[in-house]
Amino acid sequence: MSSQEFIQSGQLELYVLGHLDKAEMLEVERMALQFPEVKVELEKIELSFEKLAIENAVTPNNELKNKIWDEIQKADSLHFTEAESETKQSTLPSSSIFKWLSVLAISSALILAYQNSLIKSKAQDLQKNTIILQDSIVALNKALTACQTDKKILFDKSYQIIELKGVKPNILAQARIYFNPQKTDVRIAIQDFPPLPPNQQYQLWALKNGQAIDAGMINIPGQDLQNMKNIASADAFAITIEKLGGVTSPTMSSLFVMGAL
Amino acid sequence: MYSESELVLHIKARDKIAFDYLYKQYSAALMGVASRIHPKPEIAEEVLQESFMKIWKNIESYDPTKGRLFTWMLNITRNTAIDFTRLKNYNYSNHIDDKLVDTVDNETSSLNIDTLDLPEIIKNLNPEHLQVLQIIYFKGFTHSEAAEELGLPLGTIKTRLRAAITKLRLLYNHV
Repeated sequence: MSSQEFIQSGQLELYVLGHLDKAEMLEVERMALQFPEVKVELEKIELSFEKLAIENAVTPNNELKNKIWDEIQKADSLHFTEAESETKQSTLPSSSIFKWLSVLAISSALILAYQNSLIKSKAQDLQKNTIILQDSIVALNKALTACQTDKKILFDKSYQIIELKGVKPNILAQARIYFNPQKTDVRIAIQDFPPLPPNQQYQLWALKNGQAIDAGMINIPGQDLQNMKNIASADAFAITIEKLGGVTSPTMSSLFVMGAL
Repeated sequence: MYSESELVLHIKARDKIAFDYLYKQYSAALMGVASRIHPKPEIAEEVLQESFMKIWKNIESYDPTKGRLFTWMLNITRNTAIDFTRLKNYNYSNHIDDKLVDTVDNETSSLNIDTLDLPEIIKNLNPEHLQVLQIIYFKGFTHSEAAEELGLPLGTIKTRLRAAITKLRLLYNHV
């Protein structure tokens, strides 16, 4: 099923409403990771439901807020009450022992309070770490989706592969173009491109009948297949070093790599 | 003003300020959801209280990668409201005569497609689409319950729900 068909199916609305079973939910989540447009669609549906709820708002009774907070506190402190009731049961001992005991009790209380604050701050750290981890999972999933797209292109026979070789003295540098003239799609993978000063950038050119057509700027580091500008036909591709943001015609003296179809 | 992720952090820290904010920001919207299923304010408020307790207690299970905090809270509230309906019907059918059960049923699950009191904007929807939106979003029916209740195929329910939301998004500019 294409992402558009999936969006049209009405399944995303049911996902947001929490009406899907586990397998269907996983399918929606997988599609959302794979297709950014599905994710965007989900967010828009959520926002519409949210807006609808806000327009349908009914203000509750004023006293309800405190009542709920009291109940929450009761529930939160439930596991502390047992410990408290134990301390209340102690009977009054003779005065000197009582003094010792109170010193002991106070110091234990202080130690406990200190430990409690340590535990609390640890718990907060853990919560922060969880959020950081969740963010990195999202980032990894994005990277994975990018890899999957790249892999499809690598094995797609409709893409021609053009090797660009380093022009002296940059003999180590290599670039490989994946070019699909039907889709006018151009992707590039680069290797051993030295970093440039901040005011310079590598620029890709498609050469056709002696004309150079701008095919976009290359980002360093570029481990993935970078998506370049659309090109319908070319005899060769070349990369030059240009000023930041690129130029309209290539500076041939700064030709860096080149390869013909 | 908190972002959703900041608010989640504060709730996890059991912070009173987080509760104040949560309540101020969302209680009326969630009360609206509860009120559609339980028109009696005292019952809707019970639902709201129970929902806030669940939100507070289960905040660890909220996963921001799967959707917005509000969506999560809204679904908790709707499910709590539906649980109340079941509980109420159960109590009545066990202890009170049949006549009363009927009135309770009518009150809580009738398909009264009366557009009175509905947000003004959704009156712009096609009546068939509105009917599906109303029974699912406002009354809390699942899509299969809605299909059975309206005597329509599941596919039609899904198509109409999507059409209703699409129109709403157009009206809200969430296109």
